[in-house]
Amino acid sequence: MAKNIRKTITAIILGILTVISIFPFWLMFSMSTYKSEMIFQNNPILPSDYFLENLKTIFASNFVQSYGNSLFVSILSMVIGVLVCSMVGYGMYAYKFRFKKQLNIFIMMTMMVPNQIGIIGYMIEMRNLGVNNTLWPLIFTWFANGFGTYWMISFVKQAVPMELIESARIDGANELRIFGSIVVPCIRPGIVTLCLLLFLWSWNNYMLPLVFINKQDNYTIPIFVKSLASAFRTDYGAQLAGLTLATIPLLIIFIIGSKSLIKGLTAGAVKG
Amino acid sequence: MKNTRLSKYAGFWPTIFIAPFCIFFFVFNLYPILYSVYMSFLDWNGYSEKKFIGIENYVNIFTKDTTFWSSLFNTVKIGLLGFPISIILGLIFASLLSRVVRGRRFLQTSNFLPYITTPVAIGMMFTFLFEQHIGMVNRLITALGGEAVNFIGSKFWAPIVIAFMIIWKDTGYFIVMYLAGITSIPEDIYEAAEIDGASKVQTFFHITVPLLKNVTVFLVITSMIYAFQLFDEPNLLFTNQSSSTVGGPGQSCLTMVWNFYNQAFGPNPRMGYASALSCMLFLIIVAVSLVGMKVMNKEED
Amino acid sequence: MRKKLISAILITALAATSIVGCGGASGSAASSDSAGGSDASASNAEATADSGDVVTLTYWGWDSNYAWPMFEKYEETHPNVHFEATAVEWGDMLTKTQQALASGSELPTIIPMDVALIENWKDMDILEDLTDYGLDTSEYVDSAVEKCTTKDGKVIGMFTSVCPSGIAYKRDLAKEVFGTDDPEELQKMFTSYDDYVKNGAKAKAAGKYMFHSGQAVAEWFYFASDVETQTGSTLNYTKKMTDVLSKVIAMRDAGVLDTYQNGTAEGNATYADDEHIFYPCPDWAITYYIETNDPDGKGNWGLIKAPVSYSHGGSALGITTSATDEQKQAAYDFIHWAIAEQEGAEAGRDLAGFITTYKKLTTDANFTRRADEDWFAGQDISTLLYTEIANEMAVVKSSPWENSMVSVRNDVAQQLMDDKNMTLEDALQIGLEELQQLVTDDSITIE
Repeated sequence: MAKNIRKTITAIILGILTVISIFPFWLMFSMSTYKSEMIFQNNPILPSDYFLENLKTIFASNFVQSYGNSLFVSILSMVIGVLVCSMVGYGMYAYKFRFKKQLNIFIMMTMMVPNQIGIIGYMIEMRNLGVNNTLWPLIFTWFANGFGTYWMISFVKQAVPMELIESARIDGANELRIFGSIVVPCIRPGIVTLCLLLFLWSWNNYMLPLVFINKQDNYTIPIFVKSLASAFRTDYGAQLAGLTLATIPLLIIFIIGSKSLIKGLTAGAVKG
Repeated sequence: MKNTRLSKYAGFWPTIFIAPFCIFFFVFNLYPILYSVYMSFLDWNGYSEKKFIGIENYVNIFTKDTTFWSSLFNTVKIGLLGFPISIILGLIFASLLSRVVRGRRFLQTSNFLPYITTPVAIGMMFTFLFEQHIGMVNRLITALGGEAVNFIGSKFWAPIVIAFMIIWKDTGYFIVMYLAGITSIPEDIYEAAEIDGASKVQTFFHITVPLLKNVTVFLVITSMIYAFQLFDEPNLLFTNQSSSTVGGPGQSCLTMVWNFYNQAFGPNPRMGYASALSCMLFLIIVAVSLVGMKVMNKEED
Repeated sequence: MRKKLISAILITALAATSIVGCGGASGSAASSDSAGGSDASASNAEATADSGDVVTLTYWGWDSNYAWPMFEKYEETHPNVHFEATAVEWGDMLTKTQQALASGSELPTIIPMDVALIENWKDMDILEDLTDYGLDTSEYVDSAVEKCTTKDGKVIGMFTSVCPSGIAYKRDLAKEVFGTDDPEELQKMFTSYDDYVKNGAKAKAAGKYMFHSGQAVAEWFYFASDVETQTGSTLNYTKKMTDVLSKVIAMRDAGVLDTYQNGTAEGNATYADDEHIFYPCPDWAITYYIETNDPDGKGNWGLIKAPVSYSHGGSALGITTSATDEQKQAAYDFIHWAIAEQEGAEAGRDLAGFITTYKKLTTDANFTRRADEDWFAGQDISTLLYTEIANEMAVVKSSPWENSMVSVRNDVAQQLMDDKNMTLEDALQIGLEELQQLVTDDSITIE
């Protein structure tokens, strides 16, 4: 009896939490079905019929290109970022070398360094590299991600048995092969998790494109959405429609990846 | 035996695996910061002649610039209002969620939704929710017979709204992190506790909380770092065209990074001074993280 | 199964990246080909120039309601000119340009300069003197020329519109509250700032507000104030803000101001409600604010003069010095077309409701006849705006610190509305502290 009551209370609390979590999300979608000027003259909890018009507006501007840019940036950042992090994770685990301890502390420190701090220097550097009018500045910054590295190191430590590596070495396997065919499969949940996080972070990145992008061809989604505001009229309906569409890929990969996410975090976070 | 085998691989291979990180980190993260350090000794607006002025920028931060200190205060205040609650809620909900069998995936995913929402969208949604006249929260308040509150336009409420944004956005992330931690706690510990007649609340405080200490340390430290970087949320909540103000009402939401951004890229830019601000920010983050780690680890002993 | 799914997705994602990557690359290559080198270096563009190729003019701006349609219109009759316009928010214009300068990125060929920021643009010294291209300053409205002229006599741009401002009102509410919706009678009722305060009781009794936002009226008083923001190296903060804020406070205490923030979506939605009577209204606000936000309000609006006629807003088009000679000439031709030629000026008027600063047209009653007077129930707002108000408008010089003053004004006005007990002294003190932090140049004194 008491157990049932407790269960019901738990269910209610979790229900409320879920509603609070989802509500603004729902609002985003439902407002995107209104004509901008009508949003505040109605009660936008229930959807209206203007969604297609708003879609037309955003597709008439360069939404597709911005979407492509965002995908390009996020996927490249994710792939290279994860590769670099896993390699370091393996390297720090499987070898002994001089200054390893110092390097470990150094990597701990890198986790504390937010990218924003060096943004002015980064801007000048990108100019010197001649890439400041491209998408590359938005990508480079994720190559050596402090959080990812730190976290991968502890993940590899947990997930890869040393004996496996050693027996492979005895069999004469080349180190790259060991990494590719033994280590990577062992740390797959960790890789998936880090992929999801890096994709998410670069997809939602706001300050860097705000500083670096000044060409319509190079807009990423957040900047594109902001650009739907002119001085006199902000097309909230269209903005929200764009944001709704921008959330879809994240939603898909997180629904698919949520199990791996938990698994990956279990190994990584507990240790951390 | 083991050692010799390991050392055989020392040199070449470690370099291959570790060098990419070191190179990328140096080129894309460290070098810009060092460059910013150099620029913090300059008087430069971005396009004029660079002028070396020594430590004058730092002297100004300490003697003249009250905005720096108030932005530090605002950042700490918003961070303290938001993150502790968020972390505690994350812990509580995770432990509730861990007992749910049916619908767990759904609850988990839906509570993670806020974390994946683009900051641009969060800024807009929270305006719609908390605006004084048409905001839904205020409609609810007036419907219940209360008086509408100017959440976004008032010095007192605005930081609370930002803190609420943080709680809304990050609790889902903390839940997932804690959930990950809880799954790795062996089931038999709980079973043993139950046999001993411990109540759920007791198990929570005496088993779950202590065993999740590592997760908590990790989350506290990363959220402190994140708190000092706060920019997107306040900036997006308070930037609109014709009534834009730097820092929200009474500059109550001017965070350190926003202040930095405004100095560096605002209408009257001071790149040199902004670099000095960012170096100060860096020092503060490092100091706070180190102190944080020390304190949290000491508790363990 | 799940693992397979995930790897399948990752692979698809990778494939997508490479496709997008290639697409992006080839896309930009194509655009720079057709553009004669928007990306490419200047020499490249010059090399392809003489063969009668298309000239590409780049543009950053927020005024998509004006610039974008104007470009399209111009391209129709000038196939050798192609525009690449990038939307940049109003508040980001200076920032973006400064970032581009600091990072050495390319600047656009044409830049719109908001009147409030024009002194900052002058300071940056990145704009061509339009008189070098044959602009005759005597042909343009004096106040516009004056605003665009630097200390050493360069004319860095020209304003696309004159922007006279009046006070718009909703006829049905005026009738309900003041007993009349006739502009002439209302004009008599509201000749001074005091009248707005005095008549406030009627609005209050009827449960209406006169204005929706303290920030909006502060903006109005600010533009209407004859106190210069800056004299020499002195910012006349106290004098100007006392002038502005004392009026805001008087109205606030009379209970005629609502607490919306100006320019926000919810603030704009009030144009369509039946609670707020008056709106400070520059001519461009008729299309941008009234007609967009109150689509069912045709015929329900009226316009009267403000106690002091003033001008609000407007932006000047300028040409950056970093463009190629060919681009500069083409850009000038466009600017001249848009402002000083009948066809372009008419397009500006019809597409965006801009009345040019080219004297011959500005003073031509046929030209300035607005097509949307039916929104004002047939009231002759064209004469009111472009003859009466335009002739009385005073020009107040702006300052490079205008932006800081405006930010402080917005913030303080909002705080005054939030804290109904705040006095003028409190407000001035709060604003002063903020301004001192924003004004970082030691050679500037704040009075």
